Amino acid sequence: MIRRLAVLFTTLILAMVMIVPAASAWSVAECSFNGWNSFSGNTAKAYTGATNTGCDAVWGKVHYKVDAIWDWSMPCYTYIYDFCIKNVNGADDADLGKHRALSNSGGLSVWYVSY
Amino acid sequence: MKSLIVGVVLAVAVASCGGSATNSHSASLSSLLDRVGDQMPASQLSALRDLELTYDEYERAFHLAVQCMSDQGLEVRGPNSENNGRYLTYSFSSTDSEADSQCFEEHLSYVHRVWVESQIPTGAEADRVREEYADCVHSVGLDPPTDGDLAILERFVGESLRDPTWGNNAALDACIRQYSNAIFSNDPWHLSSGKPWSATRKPRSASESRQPGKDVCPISANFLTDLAQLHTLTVRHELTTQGGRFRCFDDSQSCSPP
Repeated sequence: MIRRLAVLFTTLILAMVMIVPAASAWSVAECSFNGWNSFSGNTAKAYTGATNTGCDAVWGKVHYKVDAIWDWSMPCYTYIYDFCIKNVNGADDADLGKHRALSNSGGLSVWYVSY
Repeated sequence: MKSLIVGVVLAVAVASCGGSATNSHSASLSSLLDRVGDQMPASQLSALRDLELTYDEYERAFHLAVQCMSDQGLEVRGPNSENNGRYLTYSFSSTDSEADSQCFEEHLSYVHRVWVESQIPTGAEADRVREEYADCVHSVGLDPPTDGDLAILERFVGESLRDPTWGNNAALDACIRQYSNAIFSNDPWHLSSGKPWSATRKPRSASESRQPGKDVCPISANFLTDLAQLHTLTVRHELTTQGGRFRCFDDSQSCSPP
């Protein structure tokens, strides 16, 4: 019984890990934000979001492949909303997203790469 | 008519519009514009200095940026449309993810931000869009929050996308294309029609849904401050470092400091 429960638990954990895209969190000045990128079906996504009120704006871009060519998307941008998602439909693959945020005090982060 | 006048409504527009707020707003705006004007690349300044951004100006900025990238040898595709034609986009092939940065900062950084802000509905229109957006999301099988503003709904949809089940759902993507101003969906270049504005929903114009003088504000003081800070931090524009105000505001000309 215990062994079955252990197997079930392990399977559950693995399943959860597999469906959760790569995620990261980081800060610049008083601005904290997070990001993730994912690839599912033929859709590549990069999410960039603020996790507190210290963020003024966020940008995100996604690296994706289509027809054997790797492309960078134009950065998405948000100002009023605290996140943006760059969504590319019809991609063959995706390898990473890049994220950047501007704090309310004007501090601008370098592009942060999440795999 | 393609020259859709877009009231440049920015971050604090709703809160600061009207009454004395507008007066103080305009007063600080004037001085701020002087400061930003010194720092802003000429082509973008020419589009924004009258505190209005037309679709033609937005599109032109994209063409200039894409041409700039192409001139630098970058393999760039665009402008193409995204979100049912409410926005333009480009993509590029390079091992350097920032290969587009110089041209983006030169021709698009301010204009794109202003355009994005101008497309976000406010007031009664925001309520209407929220209701339609929520209905659309509900119709595809999600259970969006019944209260809260448009931003909360956008957040809900964004979080839903993290679930692979919904992250690749064509019906939900259709809702996003129609209504979202935080989630940007575009097809790869080879799937694009090549007609960037084959839109089912035209970009918002100032006259479409807003009452001039009521909920349309000029560029906000805070936003311009932010722009100035951002630009100072990110853009190394050779002309501005020479300390002069641009005399030329025409993109077709070669601009130089006095």
